Amino acid sequence: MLILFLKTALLFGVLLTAIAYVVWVERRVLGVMQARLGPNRVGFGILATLPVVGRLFRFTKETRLFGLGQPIADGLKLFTKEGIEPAGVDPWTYRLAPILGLLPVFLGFAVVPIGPDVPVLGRIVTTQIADLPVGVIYLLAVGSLGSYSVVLAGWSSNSKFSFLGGLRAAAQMISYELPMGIAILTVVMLTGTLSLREIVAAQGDIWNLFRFPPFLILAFVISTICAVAEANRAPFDLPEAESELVGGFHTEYSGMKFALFFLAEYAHIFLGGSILAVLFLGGWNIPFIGTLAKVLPVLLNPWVYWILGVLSFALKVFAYVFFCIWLRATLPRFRYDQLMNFTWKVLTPLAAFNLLAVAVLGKLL
Amino acid sequence: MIAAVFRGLAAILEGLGVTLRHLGKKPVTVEYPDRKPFTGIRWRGVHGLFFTDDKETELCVSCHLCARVCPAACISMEGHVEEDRTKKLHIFDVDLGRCIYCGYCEEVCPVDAIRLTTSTDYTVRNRADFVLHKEDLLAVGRAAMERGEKGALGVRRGPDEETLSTKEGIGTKEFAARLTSEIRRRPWPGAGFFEKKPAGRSEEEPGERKKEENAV
Repeated sequence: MLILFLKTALLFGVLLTAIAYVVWVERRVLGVMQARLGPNRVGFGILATLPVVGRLFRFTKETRLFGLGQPIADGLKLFTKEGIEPAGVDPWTYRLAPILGLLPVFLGFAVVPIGPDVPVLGRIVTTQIADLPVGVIYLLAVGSLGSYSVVLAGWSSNSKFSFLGGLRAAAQMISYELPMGIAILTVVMLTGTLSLREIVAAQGDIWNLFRFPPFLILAFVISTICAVAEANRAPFDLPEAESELVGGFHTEYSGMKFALFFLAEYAHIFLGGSILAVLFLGGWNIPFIGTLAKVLPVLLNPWVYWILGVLSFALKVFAYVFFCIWLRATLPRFRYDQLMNFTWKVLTPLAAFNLLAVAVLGKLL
Repeated sequence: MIAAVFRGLAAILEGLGVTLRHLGKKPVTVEYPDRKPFTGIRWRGVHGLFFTDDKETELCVSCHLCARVCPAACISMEGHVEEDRTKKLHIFDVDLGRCIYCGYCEEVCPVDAIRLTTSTDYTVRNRADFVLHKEDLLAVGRAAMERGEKGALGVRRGPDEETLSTKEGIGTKEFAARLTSEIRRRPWPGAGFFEKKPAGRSEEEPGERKKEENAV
């Protein structure tokens, strides 16, 4: 019980910090991709006032550290801002929506296996909060709960921009769940299990991505597109479409309520990356670890192995997060009919045929 | 239709390549307060009052031409006559809030005393600070001279065009000395207002001046 609590607290802490800093990374990377700098002024000038550390590291008031203080400043700003509730909102739905947005995303992380098992004080501890036998189904179910938050926020705000954003979000999130589910089904069919832990364990020799080429690669591409779309990220950011809908579903939100939506969006990116890493990229499996361990036996020490595994997983997730940022810097937003055509006329049939092909191939080979 | 799909994919990949290439490029942003942006040497920036080449003697002869030509009426100046009857500047204010940086003042100045420098420090926190006084302008001019600037106009003139400066040697110490000595000898109608002079001196003067003109 205590271990479970500790694991949850650790996951929360790591995740929130990662989200805060990914926002900074996103702004810097976007900036450089657009030939500007991004936030680089907020530093840790306050460190200069520390008695010993300030002297030791020669911190001055001008210590900027590439703007690494930006997330802290942003967080403080959001915490201290006034939470405005416009006239005419549906108060309880309005307050419930942001919470409903963040909750399912964090719930989803409960089943994600982050690293290999480690022995702590004579007992084996899994680096996963809960190993559900129906983990994949649970992820899909919890993931679709997120669209409630957007719909409720859009509906309860009593604003036409929010309302349009909510409508779009509902249609988009539901539409993109379908090809995502079918693509994930391909993996489930291959590994024959719904437990994420077992799916990762089955990828020790070869990642799912490289089985039956090119079908699993196609499934991976479809899942990636759907994961981007489900997180409402560019080029699928129609629900918030800041150039047409002000802020979309979160137009009327401010202060910490807005921050919850913001957190949920970025947590959603992380969750999408985790799902892709677990299902297609071998989870925490380290490529060529068997060969490497023959040269360096220390790699098989459980703790070293654990650290490497977690790093491997984090690297895959961050690669996906970087890809999201990269996409945002590159592609313009879809038009609404293009969005719907793309999922219903292209992605869904493609995913279904892909599933069929893998099923046939799996039976034949 | 399949061709269209591949064309679309190729376009997306090309776009991704463009953004990725930018990741290795240096941003064009100039971090302004820390680093100054590059301005051409003919930039019409903040006005500076220039000195002779040895940076000792002020060039301005307080002729009021710049104040008169200024279309924005941002220059207000006041001069007085020294004991030695040279005209000296004691108030020279330029209101940067009104200035349109047209450069007429520089163009009209007979001694090239006021020139527009490449300094871009237009920003102040207080509206009153927009007014630069004589000391500020002298400091700007001195800094600009140390950077080797000749003002927006000095550069714009071609090398074959003779300027007042090149013709008369304006800006050299010799010129300033000659000017001073000449002015000292020159009669000034209002001179009697400031000092008591022996009558009859003004009658002697024209001859002296003529002699000097011939010498020059």
